[in-house]
Amino acid sequence: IQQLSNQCLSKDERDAYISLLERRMQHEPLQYIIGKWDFHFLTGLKIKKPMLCPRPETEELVELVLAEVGNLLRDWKEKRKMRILDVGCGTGAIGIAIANKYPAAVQVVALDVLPEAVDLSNENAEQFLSRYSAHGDSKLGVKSIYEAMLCSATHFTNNTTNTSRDLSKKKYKMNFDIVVSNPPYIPLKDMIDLSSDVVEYESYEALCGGVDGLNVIRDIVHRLPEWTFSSSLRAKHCWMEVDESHPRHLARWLSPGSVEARRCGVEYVESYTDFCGRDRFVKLRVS
Amino acid sequence: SIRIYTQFETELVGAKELFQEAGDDNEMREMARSEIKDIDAKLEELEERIKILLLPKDPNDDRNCMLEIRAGTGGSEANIFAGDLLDVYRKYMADQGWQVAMIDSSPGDDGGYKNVVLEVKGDSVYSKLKWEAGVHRVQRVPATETQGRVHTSTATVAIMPECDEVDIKIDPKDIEMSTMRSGGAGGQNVNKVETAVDLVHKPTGIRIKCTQERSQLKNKELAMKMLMAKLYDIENEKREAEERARRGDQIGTGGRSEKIRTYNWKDSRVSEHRLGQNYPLQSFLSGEIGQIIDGLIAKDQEMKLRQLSEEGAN
Repeated sequence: IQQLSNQCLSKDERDAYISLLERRMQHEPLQYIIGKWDFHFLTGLKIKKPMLCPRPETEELVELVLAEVGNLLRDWKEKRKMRILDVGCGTGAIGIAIANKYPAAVQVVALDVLPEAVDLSNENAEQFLSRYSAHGDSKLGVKSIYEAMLCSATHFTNNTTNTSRDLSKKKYKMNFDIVVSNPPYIPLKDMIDLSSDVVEYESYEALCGGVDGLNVIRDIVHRLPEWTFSSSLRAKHCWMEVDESHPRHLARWLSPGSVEARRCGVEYVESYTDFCGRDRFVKLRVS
Repeated sequence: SIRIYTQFETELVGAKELFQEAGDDNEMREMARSEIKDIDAKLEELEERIKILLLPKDPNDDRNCMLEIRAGTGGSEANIFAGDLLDVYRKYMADQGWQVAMIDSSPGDDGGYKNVVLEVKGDSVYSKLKWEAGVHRVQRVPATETQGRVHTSTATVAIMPECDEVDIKIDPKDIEMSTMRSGGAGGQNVNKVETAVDLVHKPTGIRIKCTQERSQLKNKELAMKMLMAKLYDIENEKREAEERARRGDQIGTGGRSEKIRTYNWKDSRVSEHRLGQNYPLQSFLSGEIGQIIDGLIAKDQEMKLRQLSEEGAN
């Protein structure tokens, strides 16, 4: 920086800089202007509008999942890799940050409803994970570690009677060991309080979770048993970042032993606070 | 080195034998004699080297370290001087091929820094930089001075060897961490890129601010690293002070408030007080501090050797 401060800008450089400043004056998020930002240990994660710019709280979600991955790996008896599903991947931040720590041990499948998000996630995966795929599954390349697909939570199913899925499509491989998500969770009434740099630039669908903010979360809960179905008796967990109002709703809805919990096949385990002391993360168990 | 030494010893024996056998052959005797002289000289050199290798080593020598410059008395001029020292060190580090990253800084209002922390990685970093620890004093007409008077200001340099959880255990309960997002809404609702982390170690009151990284997690890790380095440094200082007391007057790696150098602009010289020697100011300012450091290392070895032989005699 010392050397840079002593340089004089050419006219073109100055014009380019001024147009960037103007964008910022319009409250465009810094990450969109620069085109990348750091998340967890991913330096220079590409970020593009309208995908959500990763927030620092989400780094804590990654740490929570990484702790579980670490624990599971200690007793890992399966011959296959650990499979992790990231629902609503956006830039790919969460899934890639996890794969980055355990590239040889995990395989991440990521979903998003936006084609741009799927492309961006796969692009970021190529950038950060291709260095690990040189050996081993060279036929599949990065896909043996991370693959993003265009699909909604509800449509990610092999059950063809409930959805209008194309019958010629081959079945999805389920048996995920961990499901993680930072789904759109802002309740409708809070959308109006968002500052312009959020609401005018970032995707509405990535932010708003319906009236109570739980729409996508409900979709996920309903699919969890199918996603984690396997012959193993090991408990499967789902980790989510949520709105502050959600942990108590979820605790009530999916209270262990309750009618609803038994019907859904999913139980609430506990919530975790973020570094600001807010109830931010929930852990669910597929029973 | 020991191998080479024994090799030379054998050669010497061989040469001496040759000398004996040469008898009246003058040419042979001359050849043998010069060979003997040659080998003797090499043996002496090796002896010195081996003695130095046998000296007790500072356990931290091979470590990387954090370098902190803090402006002392003198207001803006002290800040500017701190910035000057930073420039010098940066040049030296680039010369040495070390990796440098700025971890934290508080710029001064008129230039320079109130405080700046660097992380330095490379070969033998601590063994060389440790000699810079202490109070540096500058005597010059400040840039901000209107009447041409000479001022004396100071800056303190602290060198903290890198350490990990093996060296220092920190109880998470002793730490209070706060971030920029502590007030108002958070999560998806807010996209502010302030990832700065502020950390207070309650038992010692040490406060660390880390603004370096764009990833908050990385800032947290860096802040913890700095805290560990500071705590380790405090322990080291305690241990060194005890050793210094035991060994008497030894060239130490600085009590933290030891005045180690004075930089005089008018006379264009740097006075290194531990060696009692002066050096040209210009070379220092261009980053050529290697000479001073080598001198300090040599003097330290000399004193240690003397101590060894004294202990051996007793």
